[in-house]
Amino acid sequence: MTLVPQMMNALTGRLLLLTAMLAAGLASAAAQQYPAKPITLVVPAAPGGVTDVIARAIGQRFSESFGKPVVIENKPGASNQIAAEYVARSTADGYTLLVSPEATFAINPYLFGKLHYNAAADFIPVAGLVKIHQALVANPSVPAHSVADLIALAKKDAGALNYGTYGVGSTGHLNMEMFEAMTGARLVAIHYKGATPALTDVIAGHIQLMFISIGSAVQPSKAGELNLLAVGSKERLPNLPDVPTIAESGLPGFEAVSWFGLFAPAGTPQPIVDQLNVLTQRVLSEPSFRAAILDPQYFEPMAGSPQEFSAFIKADAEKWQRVIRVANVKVD
Amino acid sequence: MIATALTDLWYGFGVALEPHNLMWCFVGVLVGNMVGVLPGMGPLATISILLPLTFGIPPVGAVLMLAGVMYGAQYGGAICSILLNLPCHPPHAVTCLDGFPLTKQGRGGVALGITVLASFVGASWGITEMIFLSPVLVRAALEFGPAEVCSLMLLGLLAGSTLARGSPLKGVAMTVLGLILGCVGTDLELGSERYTFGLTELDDGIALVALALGLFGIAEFMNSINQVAPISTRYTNVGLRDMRPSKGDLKLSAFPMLRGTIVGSLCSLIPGTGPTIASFVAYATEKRVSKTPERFGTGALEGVACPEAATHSSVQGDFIPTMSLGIPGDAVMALLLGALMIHGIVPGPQLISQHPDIFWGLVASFWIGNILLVLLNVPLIGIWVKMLAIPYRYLYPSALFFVCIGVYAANNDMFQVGEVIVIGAFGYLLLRLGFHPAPILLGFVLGPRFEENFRRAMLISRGDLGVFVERPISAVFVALCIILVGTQIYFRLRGSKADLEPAAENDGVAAASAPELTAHHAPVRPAE
Repeated sequence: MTLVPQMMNALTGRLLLLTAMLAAGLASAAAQQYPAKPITLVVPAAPGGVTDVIARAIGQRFSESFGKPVVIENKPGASNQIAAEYVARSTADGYTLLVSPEATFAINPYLFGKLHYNAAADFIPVAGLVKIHQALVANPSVPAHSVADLIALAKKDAGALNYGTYGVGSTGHLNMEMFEAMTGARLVAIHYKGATPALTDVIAGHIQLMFISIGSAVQPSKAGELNLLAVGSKERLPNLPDVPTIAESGLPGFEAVSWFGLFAPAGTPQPIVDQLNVLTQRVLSEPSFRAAILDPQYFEPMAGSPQEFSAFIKADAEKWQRVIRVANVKVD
Repeated sequence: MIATALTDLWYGFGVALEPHNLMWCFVGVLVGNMVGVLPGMGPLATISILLPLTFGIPPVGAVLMLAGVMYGAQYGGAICSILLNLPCHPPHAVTCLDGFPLTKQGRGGVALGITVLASFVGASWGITEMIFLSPVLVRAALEFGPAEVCSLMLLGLLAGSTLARGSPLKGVAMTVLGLILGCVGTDLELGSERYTFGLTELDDGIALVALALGLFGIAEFMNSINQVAPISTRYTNVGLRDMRPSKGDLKLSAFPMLRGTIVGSLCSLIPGTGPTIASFVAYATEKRVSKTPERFGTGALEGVACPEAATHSSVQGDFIPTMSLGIPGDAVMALLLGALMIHGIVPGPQLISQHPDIFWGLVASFWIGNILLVLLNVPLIGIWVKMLAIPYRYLYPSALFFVCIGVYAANNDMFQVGEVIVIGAFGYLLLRLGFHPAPILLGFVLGPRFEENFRRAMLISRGDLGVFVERPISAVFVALCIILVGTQIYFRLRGSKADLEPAAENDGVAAASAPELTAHHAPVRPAE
């Protein structure tokens, strides 16, 4: 009768050994063969938005290069929390990735009392994708043709100008809060459900100002529907040399820029992260990708290793933490 | 201006009739039409599924196809509303009110025929408007600021709260319930959560698709479980003769179609007012102007023709701000612009001058696509009506299956499938108690837009309520609100004695508790 447990033990031992060998073999095979099945890029926004367009453009190049389909899964809602939570809880095998704007990582942690994911611990930053510089635009009826004019106007008549945002704590809101904090100007925030309805009301003159992606500002400003006062990049943009920066207009150090990155759940094998990073950088530097996707929208490609991207996020998060504290923006 | 528009349109037809573009347009309307029939699978889900397919084809073909999916889906959307009381897409929810009673009377085929016609009329006007009037209309649309939209929404709420048949008191109660449901989600100005019970999934409010499908589809499904036999025999009783609208039917629905078209095109101009609001407002208007409002809800053809025309003219009209300003009217339009961006084309005011092939090709393809849809749908009516011959025990469970898929596809989220089931169970309870769910949807759609714009108008005017009467457009809407409420009170006061007695005969209990009940507003009782 004692034989059975012994046999069982031996069997279990052998099975364990076998499993371990198999697992090791599979793991190395997985790393070599990645991707062996379709990859899902989770997008925390509705189809058609900027995040979605970036994810689809990158996803298409990924799928051409990998020879495997790349599926875009839109999970909008709750300030990116639904998508972030979903990816954080996915298997860390490189087949479920998150394409996200900065809000998920650099803003939400300071804005919300409680989050359904841990921005720092649940994810590995894989690669930065693009930066979108934000422009300060005004309705043409506003008697200000430069940032200096605007500051003077806002100070002369404190609280008379309204600006549009795309939600409490959105970058459109926080950039203007930062602008107010640095200039001492007083403006009134009017919140909208998205950038386009706010932009419509600026064009129509119901409100006067807003920060919006430079790509959305150039055409209406050429058509005379908007005044493009300045762009929030550190230096003038190479393809818009005539547009001054806010920094050079008397606010040194001011930067209003959004960025989008690729993230994997924590625990994703490093070789896969590196492989994805290298591929992303290759895609972003392809001349055809630049010409088709980046240049027409004034997107600036981001370069660098996963480590450099992590450091960039950390610096950006510190900036937003400061802005949120100074402006006292709270969301419960 | 008209001459240039015609030259441009001619050029557009040249683009749209190129064989490959024509093919993509046909593929788009066909797929859209087929998918539109499935409950819950709206154009948004379909376009986002098809989007990757367009990477390989030229931008003109891609846009033609995706736009085709969009208006094609609207044609298909009315079919299940009329035949199964399942609004495939929220704008068609209001079509259920009269479409389904028509089916019960065996006139589902006629209703579908009228729908195809109304759709074509509505769409044709929408396209014409886009060709000749878009620069003027865009300017007019920009006049609608927060104060104007707020007053307009108030008018819509007041006019629409007696949308459904039955006691006005119950109607108002349901509108208020809709308003309350519309409060769920994140407070726009403060960022704090309201009635979310800590559920992240409710942060952006209750999904409109889930509400429409739950209240109409699931609730009706549960309500009819006990009456399988009588209804299914009545369903299949559709003779060949009944499929074509008679001359009388056409005469009856001609003016409602035109009125619906006008309402739809007006709604499409006001930023962010999509086809759902258009179809509800159109139905409410039609009921107001009708000489026989008591027929509405019992199978009035006007109640099908008018909102369908409005939906289609609004959908086509939505392209005006989208294409001329680069400002999408709704989520589907945003997705179309996203598709353009992936092809490296930046939407904006200069799209028409920089990419005339896309703009005018698209406009021309609308005509071609709509004609294709009519040719496609008229022979299909017979097949759709045959669908009702499928035994209830197969038909409804499969419809429910598609409801779940459609609701899931809207956000890739199981939570919304749960939402639709809970709302459905609740809707069943309401139906049983004689409350009609249509005003809930109205309150839900208009309420948040009223609140949002009211607060915005107040912030901009620094708390001065006078803004609503100082701005001329807003003042007109406010005046209409006052006239509407005033005449209502006047007629009630004057006619209260005459109306009370027959009402008391019909339904003593209801009349006692609701003295303003009138004879023709006898509560609807679910057939038992």
